[in-house]
Amino acid sequence: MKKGDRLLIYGILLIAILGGIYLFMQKQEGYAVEITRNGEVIMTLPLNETTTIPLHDSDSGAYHLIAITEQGEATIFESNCPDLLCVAHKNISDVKEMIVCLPYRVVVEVVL
Amino acid sequence: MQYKKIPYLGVFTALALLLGYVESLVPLPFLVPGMKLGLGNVIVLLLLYLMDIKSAFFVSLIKVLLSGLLFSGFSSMLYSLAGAMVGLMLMCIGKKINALGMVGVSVLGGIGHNIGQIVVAVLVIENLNLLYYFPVLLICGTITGVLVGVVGSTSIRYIERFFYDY
Repeated sequence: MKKGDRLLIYGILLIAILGGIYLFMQKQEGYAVEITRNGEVIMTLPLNETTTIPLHDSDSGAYHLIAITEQGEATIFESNCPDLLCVAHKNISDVKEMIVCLPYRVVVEVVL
Repeated sequence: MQYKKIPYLGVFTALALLLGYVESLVPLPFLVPGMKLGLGNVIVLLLLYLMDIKSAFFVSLIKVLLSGLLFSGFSSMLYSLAGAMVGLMLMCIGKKINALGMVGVSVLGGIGHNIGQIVVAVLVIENLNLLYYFPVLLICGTITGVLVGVVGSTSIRYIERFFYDY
């Protein structure tokens, strides 16, 4: 590894960590999640009520089971999307955190 | 001389495809869901050093198209394509900088992949807040870039003597 490589790696990590710290300081508990499909808001769920909402889309055949847990966190519990990354995503509860299902363009985002 | 390259490029494309498939079989505990090692990038990196930009470009393009058709499906092809092209662009720029070795070039490729993919994702879901993932993606890109670079710079020692003609 050359010296330039090390400098580059340290530089990138520094930028990433500073960016991470900046975002961490802005962290704030959210009160609701906004569910968006194809860029349009479909519904808003408050985070203080435990619920499970099955979400079907007749056009694309998309299915997502969105749950608000007892801890006041939102999660996608089940889906029929091909990669299942939205199901693997951790629970979210801070403002601007989001779970994205890219294949079906469904977004669950925490809002104030 | 040109025609002698073709079989090599075919073999390299097959290798890149295979590496991409093999890594999908090995589940690794990663920071972000969907994060991949990008082992196929080893081949693109090697080609950049052993042959030229054009060969690296076409092998990378065909790898993305084929693995999209074979494994991941059409919808994710767009992301791979954007990632691969931005990554290759940054790697070409990095290679022009003499202070950088293979690992540095590969790190640029790794973060280029992530930049390309997140830009397409932002355009697709029309939500700019997705950029909040950026710090995490930079770290992931650096880690995978270092690993790919180390694999590349280790293996190039064994195969470069076959490529003096090119």
